[in-house]
Amino acid sequence: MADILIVDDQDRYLELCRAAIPEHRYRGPARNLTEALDLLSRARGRVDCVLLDVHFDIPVSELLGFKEGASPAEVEALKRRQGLLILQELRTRHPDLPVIVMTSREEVVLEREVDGSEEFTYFLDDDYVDARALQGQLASIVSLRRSTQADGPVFWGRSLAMRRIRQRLSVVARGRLPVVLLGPTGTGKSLIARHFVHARSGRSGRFIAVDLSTVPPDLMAAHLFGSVKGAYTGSVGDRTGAFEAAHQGTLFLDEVGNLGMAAQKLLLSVLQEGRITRLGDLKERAVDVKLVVATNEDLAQRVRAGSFRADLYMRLNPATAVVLPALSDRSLDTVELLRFCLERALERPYLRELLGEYRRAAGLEGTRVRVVAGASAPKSVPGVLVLLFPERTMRLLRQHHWPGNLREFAMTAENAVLFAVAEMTAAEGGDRSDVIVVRAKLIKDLLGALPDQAASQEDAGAGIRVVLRPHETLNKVSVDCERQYFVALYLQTGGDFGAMAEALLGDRAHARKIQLRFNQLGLKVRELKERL
Amino acid sequence: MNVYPSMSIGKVPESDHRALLEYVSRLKHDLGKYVRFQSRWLPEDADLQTRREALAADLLHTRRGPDGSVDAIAVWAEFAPGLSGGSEVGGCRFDLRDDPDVEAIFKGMQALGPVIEGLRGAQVDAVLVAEGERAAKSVAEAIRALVDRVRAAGPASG
Repeated sequence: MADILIVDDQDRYLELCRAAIPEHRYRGPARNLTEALDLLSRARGRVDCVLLDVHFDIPVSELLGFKEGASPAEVEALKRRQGLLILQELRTRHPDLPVIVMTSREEVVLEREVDGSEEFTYFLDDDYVDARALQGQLASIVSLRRSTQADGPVFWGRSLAMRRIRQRLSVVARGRLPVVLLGPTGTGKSLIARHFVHARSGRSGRFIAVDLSTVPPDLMAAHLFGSVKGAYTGSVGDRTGAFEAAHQGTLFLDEVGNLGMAAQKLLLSVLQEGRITRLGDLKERAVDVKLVVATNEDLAQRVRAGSFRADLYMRLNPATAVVLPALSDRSLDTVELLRFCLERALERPYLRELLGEYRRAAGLEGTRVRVVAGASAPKSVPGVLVLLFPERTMRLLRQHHWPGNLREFAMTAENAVLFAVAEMTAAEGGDRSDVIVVRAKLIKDLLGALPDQAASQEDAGAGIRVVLRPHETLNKVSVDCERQYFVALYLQTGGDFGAMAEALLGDRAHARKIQLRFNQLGLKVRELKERL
Repeated sequence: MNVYPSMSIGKVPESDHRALLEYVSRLKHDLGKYVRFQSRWLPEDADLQTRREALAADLLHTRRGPDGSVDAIAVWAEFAPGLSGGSEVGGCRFDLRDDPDVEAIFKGMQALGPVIEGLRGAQVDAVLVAEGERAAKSVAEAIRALVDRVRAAGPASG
């Protein structure tokens, strides 16, 4: 069952959908933008798809785009494309919410509001839609949305880089070939191995993780392949190794660069033969394991230096290695990552207890917590405690270089909540006891305690090339730099002007400003799309 | 004012094409889509009573708005003059009565007259329901064909 919001000035679609496609839950109809936003807000992210009519015969006071003095013909034209204006507004607040515009693309091709490239906007194949056609379209859209949501917030993101990583991992997760995860420390490699690769591997066995940087070199082979009693000094009994434990499942070897030469040879043998022999044993045992290895080292360099076996390196399938970006390159995903980290943090007993104490002291009921980022405090809802990260706070979080990546980010987010609750408790009697504000100053203090590696990170992102030529005006140099910056950001966001606006101006609603500047700089979307 | 008497759609010059396309697109939305809006959603084995109710909803309440509903004949009455040279469309007059699709719309709407009268008087038997469904379908399809041809004749169609 999917949750469908109908935005229509009439009840007709609602009645038909309820009668002919009863398997879904329907909300609405919302008669205008205000009602639609209100229903979406109350649904708290549970709406899977919006059915949006185009012609709205509603009072002029509710019409988007209405200007005093408009002629009857202009008002009529506005009513006939009102749905498209509503769509534009919905997009600024719900950029990835699937919307089916209840008309065919041909019927709106002349309207300036329509951006045919919108990723989550769908049109009817036929204006004369019937139940079966709409049922099919809804099913495929909802299924696509569910599969995307199942990716999990860590891997979810609007940046093109993360979307490509997801696609690639989905492919390599299946089959028997090993997966190599590369990237700086703290970028979520183990999370991805456990929650993404293993989850999509189709394997019934367990997920076993071994951090090789914590295993003493002389015990590494026994740890991975097992041992029998007396195989080495202190071996008092038979021991099952990580490979056997992960049989028919996934084995994640973190910091694989720490693997000693002897263990490397054994690992190569397992990859080639699919069998292991416990240390001190003669018996071979078949193992069927999906191997995922991770490192922040340059393994190819290690091969050249002779400290990592070339044959093992080739067996690890380096051609399909997935490189996870540093957090500083994922500023577009800050809000989603913040929600993810706080959801996890709020599962910890001590934080739950702290919030419980705060609620009791403030006389608040309920247990629900809502994270609001980059906006003002929402209306008070009984039973809901709001963790508010204002725009200034979000800007700091986006701009920080995060040398410790996701790990550091998660720690900062958790600390921010702890200290914000403490601040609120100490302040006593603010305007809204149901809103805990994480102020920018608090984040500044928390980040100030961490080493800033900005300088060393400068070369990590895309660079801007400046060629010094005599007699060139400063304005031309500046425009040239700006043009390069816009191109890099356009490519990074996958051509999403809303995301560019969010990155540059802190608000997706300014997408048109960005698009205008884009045009002023003489950049051609059509040409850049080919590079996406 | 440009006047186009009994001409074929392909001969409308580019400068006036958009006005005509917008006009027939409105006709498609207001009449073509709603003249069999509910009937189209019915399962093939729907019983007579269900079909009658759907037909009544489609033909008697073709357009619904804050001021109430309007039947299919009244909706068509708004558009017919614009296609038969009786009223201006975007500063032009188009007389398309010889066009086969426009002719089919006129004919279909004529056939719907007695059906609508019958539905108002609640005197509709299975034969009249079938006749109403057939005529509504022919109107909807003729409007669709008309819009497609007008669009295809335009400058954007290449």
